[in-house]
Amino acid sequence: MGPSSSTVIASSPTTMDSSPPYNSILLRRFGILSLLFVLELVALTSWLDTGIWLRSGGILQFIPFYGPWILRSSVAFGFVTLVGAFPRLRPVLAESQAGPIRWAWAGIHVLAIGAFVAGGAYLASAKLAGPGPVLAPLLWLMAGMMAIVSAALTLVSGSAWAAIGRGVGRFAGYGFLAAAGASLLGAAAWRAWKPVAALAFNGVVFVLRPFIAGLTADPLALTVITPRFGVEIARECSGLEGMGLMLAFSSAWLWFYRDEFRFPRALLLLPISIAAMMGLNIVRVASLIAVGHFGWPEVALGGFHSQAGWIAFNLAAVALAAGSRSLPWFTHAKAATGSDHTGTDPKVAAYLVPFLAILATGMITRATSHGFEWLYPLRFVVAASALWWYRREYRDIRWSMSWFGVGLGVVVLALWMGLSRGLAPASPPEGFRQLPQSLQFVWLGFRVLAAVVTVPIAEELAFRGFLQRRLVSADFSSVDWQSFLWMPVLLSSLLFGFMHGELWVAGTLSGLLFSFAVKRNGRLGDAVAAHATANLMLAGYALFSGNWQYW
Amino acid sequence: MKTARTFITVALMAIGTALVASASVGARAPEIDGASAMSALTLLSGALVVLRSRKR
Repeated sequence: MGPSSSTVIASSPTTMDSSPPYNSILLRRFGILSLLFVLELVALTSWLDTGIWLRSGGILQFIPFYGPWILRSSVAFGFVTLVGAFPRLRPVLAESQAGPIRWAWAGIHVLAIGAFVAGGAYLASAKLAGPGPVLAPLLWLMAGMMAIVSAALTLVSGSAWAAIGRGVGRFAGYGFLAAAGASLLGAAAWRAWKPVAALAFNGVVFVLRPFIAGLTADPLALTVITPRFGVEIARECSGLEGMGLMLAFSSAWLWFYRDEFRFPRALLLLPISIAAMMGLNIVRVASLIAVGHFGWPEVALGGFHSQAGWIAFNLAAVALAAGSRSLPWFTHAKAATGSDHTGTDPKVAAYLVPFLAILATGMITRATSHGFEWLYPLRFVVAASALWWYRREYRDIRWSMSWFGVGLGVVVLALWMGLSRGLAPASPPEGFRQLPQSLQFVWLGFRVLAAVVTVPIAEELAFRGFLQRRLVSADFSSVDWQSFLWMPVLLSSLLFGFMHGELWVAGTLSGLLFSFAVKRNGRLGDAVAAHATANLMLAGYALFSGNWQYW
Repeated sequence: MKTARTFITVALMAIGTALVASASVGARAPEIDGASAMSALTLLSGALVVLRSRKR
């Protein structure tokens, strides 16, 4: 029993990509490991409530207290380490051997998880009032660590982990510094919210005064009040979050594409993008007050408030990416040749834009609603327009459908209904019931058309057509429709699942079935048929039963 | 120069991550709403992929 040979996926010869190919077995093992951790974490967090330990004594109270801090530090560590070390890790990942599965370590993992669960149940019992134990929580934490280590060694050889560690090199130190810095700076950075909020306050008042009579503004309480509406610019609305997000994004962007940028002048993009986020936050708050003042307070505090921040961030981030690339003062000529792995394939836009159009329109329609998305028909119109615009790019796709696809759609429906049982019941929203009957029919017509036509086509183009094949090769359009590699299928299905919120498990399994539909006959049409069938039957059930939580 | 650039980039990413990570997730009306994160970040990622696929 020796180490298994790795299956290497060659990059497409049509690209200028000179990076080493990926090791599919190793990546597959990482995928399984990640999935295992996610599933175990979800199960444990839903079962174990550590909040009661805050009232315990001894070491036990520190677990729920410092747990979120440890999680945030781990995120900072992982983000900085992976972004920085990615170029060095590519050859390491290509050459390292995953090795055979080590069943001894799998057995240790089972025992460790068992000990962790049993220990958690014991610690959660009411017997722990008073000073609290020390040894038991320590043993419990050690069991958790052993579970993580043993799972890692089950699927990937120790020598591969060592090679990855050497590949990461000094970036682990940078990641540690980032984690420590994030922890220390986190608390300190929030002290900056008051001057930032004051800046946002002054900006909002400056923008609104010419348009709203009777505006009163209190600079001490940071309140802006009109005759009909008022807000307080609290810490969460100060703009600091958006500026922090933009700082992290722009730093990572400049780092990842550093070969294309002219330094040190490109560093100017950082304060420019942060200032842009500050300006957009002022516009966001001013717009919110205006929406509330001019007659839609529920929309202002509902959909607008939840979507406007992300709309602003997306606009600023895309402007940074597009603008910096088109300004020769910031970039070298190399940026014009599309030197990254996405290449210059014109089909990328054709496969992604319809889906992205649905997402973008959805953000706007939610921003203009409260409880009932009255502009939903716009989603259908925009998606249909995008599909029509790129129709010539879809000529070589096999769109024919079969009863197999329809049958698979029925299976997906059963899966969805079974896994949605825990959803809270929902009736048609108040806004819909207030519409005249004729408009209700129009709205429902567009809703069903979107569910059965544009959404299945756009999502299958994006996930099965582009993402799943792009994970196989940079030249995704050359990948055979019937190729089926577990890692690309699993990752694309997981992302598809995460798009469905709390029903991510049903979404992921549906994605796997849609991938199988494509693989069977090499026809995207079968996946579209399955997707459309499931959506149509779900829509029918929701409408006739009145259970709108399935929609 | 290269080391300084790396250090500065790491520091900036850490500051940015700290600001976002320290946000009150349970706040009633945050600037960056956690519930909308998935679709917003998917939209951004897809837009960046489309942008990078085009020649200047």
